[in-house]
Amino acid sequence: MNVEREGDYITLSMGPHHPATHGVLRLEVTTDGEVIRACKPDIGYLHRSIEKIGECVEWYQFVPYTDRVDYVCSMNSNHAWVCAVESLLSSSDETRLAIPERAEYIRILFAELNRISSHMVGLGSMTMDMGAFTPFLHALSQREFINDIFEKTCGARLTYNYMCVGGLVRDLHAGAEDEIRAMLKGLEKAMIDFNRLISSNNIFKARLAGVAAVSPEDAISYGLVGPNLRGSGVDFDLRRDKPYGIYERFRFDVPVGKTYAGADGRPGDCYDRYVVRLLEVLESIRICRQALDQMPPASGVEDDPVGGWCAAKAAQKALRKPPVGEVYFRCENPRGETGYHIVSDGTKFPYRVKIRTGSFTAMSIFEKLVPGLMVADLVALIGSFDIVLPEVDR
Amino acid sequence: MSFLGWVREIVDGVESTATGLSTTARFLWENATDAEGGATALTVDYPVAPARIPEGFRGHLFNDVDNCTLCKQCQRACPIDCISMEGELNENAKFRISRYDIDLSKCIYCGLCTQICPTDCLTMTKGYEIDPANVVNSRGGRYLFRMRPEQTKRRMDELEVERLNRITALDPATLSAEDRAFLAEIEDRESGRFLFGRYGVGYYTPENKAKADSARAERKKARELAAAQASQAEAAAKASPEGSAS
Amino acid sequence: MTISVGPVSDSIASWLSANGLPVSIAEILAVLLVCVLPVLGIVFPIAGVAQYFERKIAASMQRRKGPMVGATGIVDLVADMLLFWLPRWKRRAVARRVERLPVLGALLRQVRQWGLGSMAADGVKMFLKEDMVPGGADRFLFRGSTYLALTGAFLAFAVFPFSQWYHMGDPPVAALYLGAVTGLVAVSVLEAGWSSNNKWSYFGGIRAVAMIVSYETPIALAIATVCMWSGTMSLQGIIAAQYRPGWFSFSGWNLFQSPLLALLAGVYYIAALAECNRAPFDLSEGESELVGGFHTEYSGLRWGLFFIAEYSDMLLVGGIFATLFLGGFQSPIGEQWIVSLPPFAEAVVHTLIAVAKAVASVGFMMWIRWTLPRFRIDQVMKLAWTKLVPLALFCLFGLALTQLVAAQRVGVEQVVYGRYLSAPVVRMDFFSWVASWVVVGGAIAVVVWMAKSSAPIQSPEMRRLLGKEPA
Repeated sequence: MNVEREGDYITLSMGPHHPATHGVLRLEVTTDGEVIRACKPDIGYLHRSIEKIGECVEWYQFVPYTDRVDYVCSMNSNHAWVCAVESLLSSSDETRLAIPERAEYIRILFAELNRISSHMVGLGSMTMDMGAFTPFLHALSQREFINDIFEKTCGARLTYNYMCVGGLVRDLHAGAEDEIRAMLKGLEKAMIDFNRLISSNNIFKARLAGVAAVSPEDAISYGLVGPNLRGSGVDFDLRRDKPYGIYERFRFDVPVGKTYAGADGRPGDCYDRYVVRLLEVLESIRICRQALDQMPPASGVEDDPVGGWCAAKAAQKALRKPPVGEVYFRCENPRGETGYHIVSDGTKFPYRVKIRTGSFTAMSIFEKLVPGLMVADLVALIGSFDIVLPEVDR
Repeated sequence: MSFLGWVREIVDGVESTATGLSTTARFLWENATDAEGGATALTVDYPVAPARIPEGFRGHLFNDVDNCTLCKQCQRACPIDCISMEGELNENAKFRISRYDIDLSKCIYCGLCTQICPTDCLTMTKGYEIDPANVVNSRGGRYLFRMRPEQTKRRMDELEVERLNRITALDPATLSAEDRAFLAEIEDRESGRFLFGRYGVGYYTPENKAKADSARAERKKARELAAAQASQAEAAAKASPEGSAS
Repeated sequence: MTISVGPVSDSIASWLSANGLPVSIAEILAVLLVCVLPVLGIVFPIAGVAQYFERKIAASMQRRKGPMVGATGIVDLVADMLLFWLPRWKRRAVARRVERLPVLGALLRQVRQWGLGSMAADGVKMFLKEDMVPGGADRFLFRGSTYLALTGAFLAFAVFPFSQWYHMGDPPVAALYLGAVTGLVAVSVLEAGWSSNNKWSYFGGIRAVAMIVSYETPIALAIATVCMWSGTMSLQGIIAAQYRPGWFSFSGWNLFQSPLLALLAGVYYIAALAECNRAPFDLSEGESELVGGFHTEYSGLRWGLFFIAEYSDMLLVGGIFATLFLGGFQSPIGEQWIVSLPPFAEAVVHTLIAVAKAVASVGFMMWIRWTLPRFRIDQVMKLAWTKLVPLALFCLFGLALTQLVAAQRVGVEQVVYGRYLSAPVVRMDFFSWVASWVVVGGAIAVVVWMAKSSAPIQSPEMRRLLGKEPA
């Protein structure tokens, strides 16, 4: 075997084709046997110029592109974009939109359902990376039920394109509320099974406990967001601390990492981030149930301010001549804070769209965090950060 | 580590393994006895069994050309620019469409074009399969919807369109002489074979046509309801200043 | 000089030479038949079918259907071969017509429903894939590693006791031989990893060597302990020592003799899982980390040979587990009457029982694989050296003490079991048996209770996640 000798280290390309990098991520890893000495991420394999395309399509046409910024939590990305545009439009009285209340509730309901399904993917693929194939499929089967509900409502299973500026494209399908309630009940049971199977398993805990601990100061200074930040002990959640939409009407707890692994763990390790995501699923179930209880009934009229689903005509008119200005809108996606910075020059095309995603900034901590880990721990780390490459590369 | 700690580690390992094994054994049992649908709740034996497609699914597009006015809103709304169309004025000074192309290899099935269509002639069907035998042409794999001007003058009824759908699905070597003549009359030699007919482009099936009609009727009802409510609100607004003034 | 591997090959050779073949040819043929039959007739078919069952079991645990390949490809292939002069669409039309025949069609539909066609599909796939040796690879080692892996597995089958009358060999040091020969797997994995000219394969090979070498020790200790308990290193002798006449023959099995033997069985089973590179110890082929680990660069039949080697290893290890702890080829009830059957019937029944126990053990390995996540290499070695080896040593000393005490009380005797005479062993009477379970088992239970009562309490969040508290 030919080995390039740089001292006694081996340079591995944990290359774009790899089962554990959750997409086309390349990590240049320099190892001394099993222990890593250096790690340099190499991103850009999934770059699709979404931000540049944002300058060439109209405001309402950009929504399918936001689906694809993070296709695992497409509803949340839609929500972030439409909230950003509505916030821009609300800076002037002629273009301010009155979103129907039912639409707001459905937006949050679906955003939380998508948070659940995104965490199913994240948690499931993390267990699969650790070698347990069964819990992955059980998590994904719950996600299939959520996708069935989404498919009946908006017609698609992955890239939903369900929210539009002014509300939603369609109202909920008939029987949606009962279906969602039944699904949530089944989900709770399935989560208990999932946790009995893998979350409390000794081998799993031993793989994750104490691995790649991130201190709260490091988490803040490297710009980690979402469950990564909360797993390090920082109690910050945009839904509670800077609520958007109608999140202030909901009561939910924000789980924070507390060395759940016990004596072997360290604060902010992989197991903390894992458990934070598990607890977030339970909190999202609470929010979904509250949304179903509080939602006003459908009135059948599209732009009815209480029971409608879209202020479509007003939105179309407003988007032809939006106010000049810029807005930075932050939303709590499953992967952390997603910010849309949009600059408008008064035309129907955005002047600039900048998307700030949690996974991209999570890449910045790799060079510091990885040296000293073993190769198997690196896989655990990537899984625990829940990195999806479309968010990193856009 | 202490002796008791060592024993505890072993005991914890055995316990968590036993818990895991019992959980997967239960999964195995539930799946074998088809509890809550078992595997069939999630797995559809496609293509032996048809896929489970709900209403409102965003499948292939269907344009009911009789009502299409060539307004080009869908072309403008498409974020991928995959729609193109051509038409000319007929004898009643109305636009009649002679070419309507959607490049299915580019379409992302977002449905923005259907949201914006003013006559609701463009709808999304429940179709998701494209049979390559019907589609691959000299340009390779693009499903284009096309009618030439003289073809718009030929009106085919449902029976003829069904015959066309049936014949184009068969192996060309097995066709009879009349079938071949029928096809030659309406086939677009330049770019291969297409499905088209009186109801215009794409998948004509009675279901698609019925669905498009019902979707249009629903939207019309919703618009009328909204208009009625708006006029009621106007009347109330007009009445109250008069009432309060007097 | 006679060429023989035991009474079975002798009788076959004499029958062949009585029917006209020269003696030496007859002897060689007989030996080949005896040696090849278990491999071709038992191990290969089970390895071939095992993948289908593994996938179906995995799918059942994961709420999916698993492989659902039908027989359409086979029917098409047969139609193509038999009706080669017809155009393609006519051949296909005939094939579709055949699938609608009454009896054959029903059979084919069942095949489709159970997905049995995947066995054929896997086999054909293995043969038809391109046989590729990567550039820069060490060609001799690359090819040789697969052969070495198979050699290691099948050399051990040479001493595997299928039955009293039918086995390939019964050396008096079979247990020692086993421990020596199973180590070849480690060499073959390292060879594969190194010769692939691929850093990821190299990682897999290195990990495998570290792991397998570490786990040789608990295996050797376990085998040595059982040999000490049974008084002999011969596998047939170990089985003979577990013989009890009467209806409840399972009472003689080593697993039930003492809690220390039960503990030792667990130690052996875990170490055997590691020897097979099987989850939770599959870090040398760790799919999520190394794609394929040491066998990444192998495709087609070469990969198939590794795969067969792995499943043969599993069968072997399961069979040895059965031999050491579950009475080998003995039936759980009524062994006394089975062993007195005529030789041919006895061979068939006993082989079936031995293979059934091995297959059950393989099934248990599959169950474990689809449940547990994978260890990290340092955790694997810590497990071996800090947990399994001390446990095995503890069992060794405890069992030696038990034997001493029991020998004082009961004495030592030799047992006649079919064709074999066991070594002088201690056969505990009922009182000793109960005492060993109560005393030793009680001591272990007390220690476990003390350990668990000093355990930290679970956090409320974990209790909520596990459903012990309302959400």
